[in-house]
Amino acid sequence: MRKGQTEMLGLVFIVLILALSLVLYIKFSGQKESIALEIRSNTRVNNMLNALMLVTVENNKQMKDVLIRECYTNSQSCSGNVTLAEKLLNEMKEERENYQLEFEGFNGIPDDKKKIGNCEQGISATPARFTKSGRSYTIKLRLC
Amino acid sequence: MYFKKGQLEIGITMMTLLVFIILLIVSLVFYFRLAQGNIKETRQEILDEKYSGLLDALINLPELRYSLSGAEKNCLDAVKLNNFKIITKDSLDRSEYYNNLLGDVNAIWIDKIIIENGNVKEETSKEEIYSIKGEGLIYSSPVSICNDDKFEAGKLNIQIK
Repeated sequence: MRKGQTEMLGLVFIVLILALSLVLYIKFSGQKESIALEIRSNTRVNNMLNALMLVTVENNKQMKDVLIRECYTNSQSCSGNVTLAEKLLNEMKEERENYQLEFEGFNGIPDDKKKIGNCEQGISATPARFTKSGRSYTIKLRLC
Repeated sequence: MYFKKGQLEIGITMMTLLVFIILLIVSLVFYFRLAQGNIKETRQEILDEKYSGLLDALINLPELRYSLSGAEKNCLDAVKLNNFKIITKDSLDRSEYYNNLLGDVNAIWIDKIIIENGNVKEETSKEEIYSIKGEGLIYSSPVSICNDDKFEAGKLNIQIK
């Protein structure tokens, strides 16, 4: 190998190292997670679930009471209230946000409505748990 | 035309220097562009943090929060919301206190979601709590509002100068 060729190889090697370090820098610089953002989203999703559970839907009855009463067994009004909850969440969320609302212990809610929305990895609110007549009910909300 | 060995070596060094300088300039331009983008992102994050914190502080403000016999409920008081505008301006001391607390907030209002016959109405009811004329970025958070025995859902919005 001539001297010129060796120098060319050296230069190519340096360029490759530079390019590699740039790629690594770009890859890792975008991966920092903001804890503040997580805390903020957590407060937001908790406020959202709280507002949803407390809202009066009929004759001074709150959403949580109505859901427990109506969705004990399958009924038309149960589906109506689940749809209402969905619409309320759509009004409260920001355009860029997605949510997932899950009902546990509500036998009256059809299986396809027990999980509304799609957000598998996001910030979850503290689940709303209720007990009535020895049965326990849980409502979970997650925001993406 | 013949080159002497020395001239050739100078040529090679010049070429290497040129390539190195070009690479350096390209990387510097690229780095400063990235740095500029990061600075803008960080600025936005700091502002988001600041105003979301302010929004949380407002939600937990005793002047707005519902309480009965000293026990707080997890909602805002509709009566206190209506009177907030008055109490923020009823004396010079208070006005100064709220100006400091709210900083560059232009306006505070609530978009109440209206439920009628088991359905959500498309338009919300806007209730102004505090306002100074102007335009700006809006931050919002879902809230519950207690009005006697009735609970309403809505969004508390703040507009920043």
